[in-house]
Amino acid sequence: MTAAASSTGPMHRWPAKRVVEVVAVVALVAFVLWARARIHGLSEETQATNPIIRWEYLFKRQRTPGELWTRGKQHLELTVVPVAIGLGLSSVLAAIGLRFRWLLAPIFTFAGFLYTIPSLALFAVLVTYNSNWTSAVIALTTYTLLIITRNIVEGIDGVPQAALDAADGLGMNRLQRLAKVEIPLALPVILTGVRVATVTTVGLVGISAVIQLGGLAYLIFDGFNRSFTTELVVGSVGMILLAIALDLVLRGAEWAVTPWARRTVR
Amino acid sequence: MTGTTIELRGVTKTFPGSATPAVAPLDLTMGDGEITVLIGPSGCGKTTTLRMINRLTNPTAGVITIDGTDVRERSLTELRRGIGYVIQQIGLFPHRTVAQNIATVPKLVGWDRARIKARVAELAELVGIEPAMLGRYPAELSGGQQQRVGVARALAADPPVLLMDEPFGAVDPIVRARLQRELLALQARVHKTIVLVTHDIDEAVLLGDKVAVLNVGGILEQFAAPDDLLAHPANEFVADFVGHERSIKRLSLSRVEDLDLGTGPVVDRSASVDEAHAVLARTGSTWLGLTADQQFLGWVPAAELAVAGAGLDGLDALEVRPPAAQVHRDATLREALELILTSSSSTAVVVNDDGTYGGTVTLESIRGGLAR
Repeated sequence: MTAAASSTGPMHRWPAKRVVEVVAVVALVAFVLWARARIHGLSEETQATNPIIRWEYLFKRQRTPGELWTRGKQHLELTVVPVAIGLGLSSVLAAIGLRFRWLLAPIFTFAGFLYTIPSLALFAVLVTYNSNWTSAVIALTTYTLLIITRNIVEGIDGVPQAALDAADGLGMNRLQRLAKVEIPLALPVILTGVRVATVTTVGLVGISAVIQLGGLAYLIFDGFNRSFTTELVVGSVGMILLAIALDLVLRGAEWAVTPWARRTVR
Repeated sequence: MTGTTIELRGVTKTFPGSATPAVAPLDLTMGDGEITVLIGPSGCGKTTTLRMINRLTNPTAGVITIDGTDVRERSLTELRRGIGYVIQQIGLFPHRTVAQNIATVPKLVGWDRARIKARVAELAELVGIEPAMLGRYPAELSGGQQQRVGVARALAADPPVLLMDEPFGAVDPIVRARLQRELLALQARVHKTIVLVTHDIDEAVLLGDKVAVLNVGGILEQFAAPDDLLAHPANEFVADFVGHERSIKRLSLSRVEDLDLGTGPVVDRSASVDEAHAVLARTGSTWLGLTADQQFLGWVPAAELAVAGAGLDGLDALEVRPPAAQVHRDATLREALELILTSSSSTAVVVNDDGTYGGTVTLESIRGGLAR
């Protein structure tokens, strides 16, 4: 029945807004690069010896593709793993808070406290007891908890009372109601939380460069240290593209699982 | 009584933190295949009473039985799956299509796909949902259509009992009137034991076989058939609640065929002029009705008969005015009254099922009917 229902619906185009966002980011990057060149007022001589982009770094240097791949993969892993763990932990926290309402405030306070810890400090503390990788994952996970937990609770709370009343009245048990009514209806809000957490984490991964990780951001720091703008730019653009790509994927997922939210009143 | 009867015995509900009960000890029997309406002002516990039947609310004391079985003896989900439930806000699942919404309970109780599909199609036909709508989502339907889907969903697994909590409260008056008629037509086909909560006395009187009037605190003031309620309110509260236009409301409840239908100032066309005069004299009417072969032909002013006088050979010669006011036997008294008020003869002609003349209705006969 689901297949039949979705096939009867009109195809919806991706909103044009997405394209505008991508164009805006590219324009921003171009502006920053241009501004840098102007501010530094580099002489033509220096410009010639130290251009913003050395294209041969990208296209001639043999190790570059391998480095980009390794750093990109690390960045993706350091984003996806903490968000996935964060989603799991947040589900538990949200479930506890929804079941025992009085625990909701303490849970949010706790998650909010974790969120306020400066990431650099957290890395420093964790790395004394754990491997670099574990430290990064733990730290990055803590930052996802507040956003995701809050969105799960808000999503479930936002399910219309009438739908819950009907679910009970029709004889669904607690689990059926959760699986068939509450979670599906809360899904748009939950996925928005996951998306915001993901994009935030893409940025935070960069800080883990202090413990020799950092993914694509490693290139940025390395570029700074060596005054090698090309590497710096490649790292920045790579991070931005990764954030946009993950944002698009999750928006696509939201779009795909909520066909009902797209239909309007006739 | 056989069939599905719902009995409330000493049912009480006191909500935590409240000193006074929301529902005082209540005894009520909801008859098999009947529509029992619970009505009363806000705070009279009508919804609470309804929700205690499918245990969405648990009584503080007392026993509720369906078919003689205590509702607490069955598991919560099993009990509720066997009771249709319709609420004011409809509560369709917005993320499920119309067909999926209707299929909710059959799916819960594990029917196979083919059976569910057939049942959904059957219900769509029963409540008047076009098959094309089955693939749509609730947000794409009008309020009236959503309410029909709500009813179809409640009836899906063919439960013997249907609980309706202000089912037509959220739709506009025109749609409400249509849905009310549809519910009655539906009930004539499915014969469920229906318990319906409303705050609208007109709805109660129209839909109910029995009406329970509740006062604040869940006190039962009167439990009677609608006509009884209007004709003989048990006390001032009920009289006040049913309102000032009790007689007007009762007009909608009685039908023309319930009255003593006189033959009226009517003669066959073949009758003699003297006979016609005799009928007019007896009834004191200013109009004479003519029939032929049991069919009503029309009216002739008594004055014309007098003018024609002795020179008249037979009634055939008179010019007959076609009747303006004709009502069917099963029309309501309200419809009959409307016609009488607009008819120059102050008389409505009753037509039988086979089209033959069935007598006349006048203001007098309606008044007589209500006095009974």
